[in-house]
Parts: sequence; C-alpha cells; structure tokens
Amino acid sequence: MSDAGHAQLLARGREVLDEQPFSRLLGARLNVLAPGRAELELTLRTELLQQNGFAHGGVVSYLADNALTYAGGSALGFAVVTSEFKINYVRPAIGERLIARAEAVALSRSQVVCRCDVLAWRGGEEKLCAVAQGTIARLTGRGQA
Amino acid sequence: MKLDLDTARGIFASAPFMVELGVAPTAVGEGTVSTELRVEKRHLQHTGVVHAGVMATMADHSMGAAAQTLAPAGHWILTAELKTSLLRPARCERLVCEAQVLKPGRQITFTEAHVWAVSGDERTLVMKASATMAVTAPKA
Repeated sequence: MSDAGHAQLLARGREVLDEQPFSRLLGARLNVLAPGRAELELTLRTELLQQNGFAHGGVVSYLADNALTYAGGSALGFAVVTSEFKINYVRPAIGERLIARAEAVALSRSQVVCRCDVLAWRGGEEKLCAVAQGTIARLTGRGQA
Repeated sequence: MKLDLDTARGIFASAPFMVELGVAPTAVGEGTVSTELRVEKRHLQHTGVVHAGVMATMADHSMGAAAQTLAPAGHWILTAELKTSLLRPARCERLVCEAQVLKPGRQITFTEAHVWAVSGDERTLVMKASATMAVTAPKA
C-alpha cells in the first residue's frame, strides 16, 4: 500500500472511531491503522477505573476488542463484526494511559483471527496488562459492528 | 461474603466505570447477580447498535459480583480471563445481565453470564460470556 493509501486508511479509521459514541465516551484514539494492524490508545481517568483504582476490566476489554476489530477490518475490508473474543488480564492496568496493539494472524475469505496486547503506560514505562484473541467476521447484511 | 441487594448497590457504586455506564444490580443471591442498564446514545456503536464493550463490561462486573457473594470475608475478586460470544446485534431499551458462579474455589472461581437485549416484553439473548475469577487474599 502506498503512503497515500496508508494515510487514507488511517483517516477513514479515525472517522469511524469518531462516529462511535461509546469510543468517544472512553476517549479512544487511533494511532496506527495498516492492513491487518492497528494501535488504539486511551488516557485513563477516574471514570474509567474500578473500585481498587485499576482500569476497569471492561475498559481494557473494550480497547482490545476495538483494536482487534480494526486489525481484522483493515485486513478484510471495512464492514466487519466481532464474533467472539477472549482476554487474559495478566496484571492490574495501572498508569496514565493504555495502548492496544492488534494484528491479523490468520486471514480467510470470510473471517480473520486477530491477536492483541494491551499495555499500560506508567511513568514512561510500558507493562503488558492483558492479551486478547478474537475472530472478526465479514459482515453480511445487518449486524453488530 | 453475604451480599444483600443494598450492599451490592454500594459495591457497584464504588466502581467509577459502573457509575459512568449506569450499570446497577437488580437481584443478588448466593452465587448469582442480575444487573440492568438503560441504553443511551453514549453506549452505541457508529451503526446504532450497543457497543460490545458495554456488554462485555456488564458481564465482567456482574460475574465478579457473583463470585464475590461466595468469596471468604476480606477476600476480593479480580477477573483473570474473560471470553465473550457476540450472538446478535443489540438494539434495545435495556440490557439485562444474569451472572452465576459455576464453581467457587479458594483461589479460582468459575463464572458465566448471559446478556439480554430487552425492549418492552421482548427479550433476546445477545451475549454469552464466561470468566475465571481470581480470589485474592488480604495482604498479611
């Protein structure tokens, strides 16, 4: 893909993110979008925490899910849906921001299996806090995003 | 830990993200917790359906609370892993989650949850989730 193609893909991806009210609520930003690869980021604030002061598991899984979907969507074409995903929380997510890096690992005609690492940034250091894997399916007709 | 509905409400209210989303418990039993959320625009995807992250969050926290009802006093619950299957898109007035403990343990508790899209009298299953909860002992 050309540089112009990459820029266009990222711009389109950011438009879609901006159209998702839930992503706006969480303040997600799309840093990278290339065919089969995506990086999403969000800044942690009190509203996104759980009772112990860690990022809520739901926030971490949101970021992983959306990053998986972007990686899968850019590999397949834009109309896709997450059909399932699994996440392991390996360390409490504590820090100023979270970054999810996802990649497509197995592409077929109708679906793609993607993997994602979620990192917590704290004081200039990044720590792995969750790993996720999911199946992103080509959307046929009406559906989930 | 014996958990009545008022205590459960307090626990949900102490998690800022639950307050942000508007998830509240509606019933609590031994190893079971039901929760509800009124769907508003901020919960949606760009396509107008509820974002999967909302349902996953609801399922996660409800399963954690269900595990908490059977945890020894002073222990708290952390999600170790979560699996979700997105069965159908959710376009609805409310989401209802029913979470239950499949097997409690001293270190690990297995749980599952169903999330339903509810509009009027109509109720559709939209997510099936399961999670492994770590039962964390108080620091000595």
